[in-house]
Order: sequence, then C-alpha cells, then structure tokens
Amino acid sequence: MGRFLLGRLLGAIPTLLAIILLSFAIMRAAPGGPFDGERALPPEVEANLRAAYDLDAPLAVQLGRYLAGLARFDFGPSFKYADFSVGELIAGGAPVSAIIGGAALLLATVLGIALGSVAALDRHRALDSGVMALAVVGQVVPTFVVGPLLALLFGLWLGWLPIAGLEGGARAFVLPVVTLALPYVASIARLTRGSLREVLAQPFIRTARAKGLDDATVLWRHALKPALLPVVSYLGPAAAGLLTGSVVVETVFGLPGIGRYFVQGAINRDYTLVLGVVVLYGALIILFNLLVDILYGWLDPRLARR
Amino acid sequence: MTMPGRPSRRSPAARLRRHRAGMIGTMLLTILAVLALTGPLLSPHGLDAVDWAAFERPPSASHIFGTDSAGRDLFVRLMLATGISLLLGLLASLVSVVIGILWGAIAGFAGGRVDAVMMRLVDILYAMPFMFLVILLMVVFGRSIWLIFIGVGAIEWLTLARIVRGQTMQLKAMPFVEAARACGASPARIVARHIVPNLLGVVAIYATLTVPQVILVESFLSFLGLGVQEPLTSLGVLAKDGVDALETAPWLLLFPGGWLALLLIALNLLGDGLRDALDPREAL
Repeated sequence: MGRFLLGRLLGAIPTLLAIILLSFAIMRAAPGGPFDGERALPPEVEANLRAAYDLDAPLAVQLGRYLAGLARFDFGPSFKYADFSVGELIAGGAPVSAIIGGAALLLATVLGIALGSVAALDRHRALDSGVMALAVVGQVVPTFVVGPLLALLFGLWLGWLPIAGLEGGARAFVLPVVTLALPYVASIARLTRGSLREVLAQPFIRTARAKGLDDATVLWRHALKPALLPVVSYLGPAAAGLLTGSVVVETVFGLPGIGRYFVQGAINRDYTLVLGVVVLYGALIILFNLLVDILYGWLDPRLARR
Repeated sequence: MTMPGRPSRRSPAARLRRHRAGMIGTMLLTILAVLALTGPLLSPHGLDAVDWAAFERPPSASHIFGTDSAGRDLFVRLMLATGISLLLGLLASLVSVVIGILWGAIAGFAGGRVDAVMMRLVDILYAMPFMFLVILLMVVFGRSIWLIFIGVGAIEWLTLARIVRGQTMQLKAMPFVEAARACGASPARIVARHIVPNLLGVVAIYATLTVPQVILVESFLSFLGLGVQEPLTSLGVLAKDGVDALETAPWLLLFPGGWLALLLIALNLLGDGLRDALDPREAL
C-alpha cells in the first residue's frame, strides 16, 4: 500500500507541473497587459507597476519565482484588488466553497446510491421506471436552469428559504447544495442501478438468498460493496464537476466562494487570481483522483496489490 | 428475440428502428432540428425585429412563446439559438472525433514507446481542469466562437482516443491487417484504409454522445457570459437572459431551459439506441 501511494503521488507531479506551465504560458501570451485601462498610463508609472508586479524580469525567472511562491502557498498579488494577495482572496472564499462542494458530494453519493439500490431491487418495475425517468431529467437539465427555478419556487413564491447571500445561516446553503448535487444524484443512481443489477445476477447472491437472507441483508452484506466500484471511479470526475458546477451555483445564488471570485476575476482580467484558482482546482482534482484510487484499492484489494 | 450471445443478423439500421428509446430520440431530434431551420421562416416576426407594443409579454396568440425584454419574439430567438447550439455541437464534436481517431489509431497501431508516450499525455490531459483552462483562454484572448471549438475539442477527444486505441490494438492482430502488410501496404495506408473504417461503429456512438456534452459546455460558458456573444444567440445565452428576468418573466427561462433539456434528451436517447443497435449481442 505504501509503494502504491508513493507511486501515485509521484505520478501526480508531472500533471500538476503541466497544469501550472500551461496556465502560466496562456497568461503570459496575453495580448495587452492587466494595466490597460480606459486611459493610457504614463510610461514611468506603468514601468513602476510592472516592476512592482515582477513583470519586467525574464520569463524563466518569473516562472521560477511563481513556482517558488506556490511551494510556500503564495499565489502572488491580485492585479485588481490591490490590497489583497490571491492567497487571501482564495482563503476568504474557501470555506464557503468547501461547505457547498462537500455537502453536495455527500448528498449526491448517499441519495444516489439509495435511489439506485431501490430501483435495482424493485421487482415490479414501477419504482424502477419512475426513478430512472427522474434520473434522465436530472442529468439533462443544467444547473443554471434548475438553480434559478428552485430559487423562484422555494424562495420567492413559497418564501421558505433564502435565495441569495449567506444570511440565514445553514438555511442559506440548502438551495445551492441541492442544485449542485442534483445531476450527480441522477448519474450515481443510474450507475448504482446498472452495476447492482449485474451483481445481483451472480451466483454468490443466489447462494445468499438460498440461505434465506432478506433483501436488506443481501444488499448490505454482499451486493453493495462490489457494486460500488463503478460509482467510486465516477467520484473523481464528479468531484471535478462539482468544482466547476460550484462556479455556476455561487454565481446564481450570490455566494462569496472561490468560484465567484473566479468568474469575477475572469471578467476583470485579474490574471493572477484566475491563474491561482486554476492551479488550486487542478491540485484538488489530482487529490480527488488519488483518494478515489485509494478507495478503489480498499473496495477491491486485488487492484492495490498489483 | 435472439438468444444472448448469438449475434443478430439484422442490419444496424433495422435494429435501430426496433429500439423504442432510440426511435423516440431520433424523432424528437428531427422535430427540433426541422423547427430550428424552418421556424424563423414560418414566423411573421424577424430575428431582431422589435415589437414596440410588446416588451416582456407572456405567451400570446401573436407571440406564442412571449417576447423578451427588448420586445423580440422568443420563439424565433429560441429557434435560432437551437440551430446555433446544434451547429456548434456538431462541429466541435467533429473536431474532437477527428483528433481522437487519429491519436488513438496511431498510438494503438504503433505500440511500444510511441504508444506509451502518447497515452501518458492523454492521462496528464485527463487530470486537467479543462473547463477552467478554457475560461482562462477566453479571458486572455477575448471571447470567440473559435476558442469554444478549441476548448471543447481539447476536452472531448481524450475518451475517444482511449477507446479507439483499445479497438485498434485488437484489430491490429487480425488476419486482414496481416494480409495488407504482406501486400506491401505502408503503415499510414493500413491505418487509413483498414483500421479506421472498422472503427466507425464505435466512433458513431461516441460522437452522438459527445454532441450533447458539447452543447452543455457551450451553454455553460455562454451562461457565464464567456461564450456566444450578441447579436448571435445560443440556448445558454437565452437561459442567462431568462435568469436575469426571472421574477418578472419566468417564461424567458422556462422555454429555453425546457428546449435545452429536450434537445439533450433526444441526443442521449439516440446515442443509447445506436449503442444497442451496433452491439450485435444486445437482443432487439
């Protein structure tokens, strides 16, 4: 297991470097600088600004300094919010994004597996078709349509839940989390159902039933663990999707998370902020994939030993 | 019914016609596409025509889907948007399919070190947060339709490259490839004339399932204001306008959102149908 982990960690380094290099290259290839405003700056002011933001050094030196900074979790200064560093902005938004993303991932996994299991075990097909029809709809209606509609229904018309900002404490997170989780509930339900159907058709399940075990015991003790392998391998891409989705959800519900900074940064051409978020998300996606690999090894020990 | 394990003798087209979900998808897609092409011509309202008597009006006899905040007919805008979203989806899928086939076929056919390097690159790209890199591109180089193509093409070819590589490695071991080589065909000719044509079934399925992905990515970018720009429009642009006017004019979100969902369902059903129809072991 130690070797397996070490190998995976080392394998992640080129990917992370590639992400940083590519983002850095795109940013530096930009036509026009971040200080192009409505009015041209006097040359000496611009020269001072460039020196202050370290833009006058050779590219290799800039890249080296950026990498050295990243190693200390220093993402550099923000171009637009002059008083803040990118690290401070990200740290400010991180708790909100982490709560939304974490809660959505949990909700999607638990509810998705539960719905998928119900559909797979349903003998009369009525529940099964119902759940699967809902799942298809959940997969194709985009977050940016579902979010505003839920806000309209539960926020404006029924007045049950707050629809924007953080006021209202935990209640403020209900709609964003549900909105973000829905497509993943749908996908995980479909995956669970398909995979559980296959497992339930296998001889060892017939043996378990022949022993007189009821549905619940067969599911918990025997069928679920092998059936969850495809679900677990889906969690890596799902986590990446949740990060992307949180950009939309934070925009729709006006939440001060990293995703909102990202969109604001994109619109303001705040290069360092956008670059910082891309690098952070890249690192997170790599981390999630690593966690998925570990979980996979636990669910199917044959893989870890390979 | 055929027995599981015994290949069906019906042609794929005939099998698709027997696939209920696939046929529903095909019909729905045809209806949506025909409406998108003919809707603007049949409607008395122009694409940019402003009805000065009807700003943000709910659906009525003269404007069947209502009008937007600038007094334009939503039905006509929606048909234009559907057309553009579909066109973008098809073109970007085509780009990614071509890259995916070439990459996968070359890697699979060459094998050895070339294969290892090419597929390692795919692995690295796979782990990248592409959506964010595309947004970064948009920010830096300005918003253009071409960047959507590049971005989406760069995301979507990876899976296809993996699938094609696997298939190519199987095909490479077949006697007919051996025969071609014995006849003196060059590796490039073998890949182009003997390997790729045999991959088209798999590619067709995957391409059909790529189109809805692309449409979603495009609408996501447009929703953030980073995709298609006015006066052109797409389903994502319309949805964004709808969200902005949600409290006073919910139909401006409901119609584009519903239309987008219908389009995606149609494409997904068609893709599932094709997959089952081209898999001879599937009983149909």
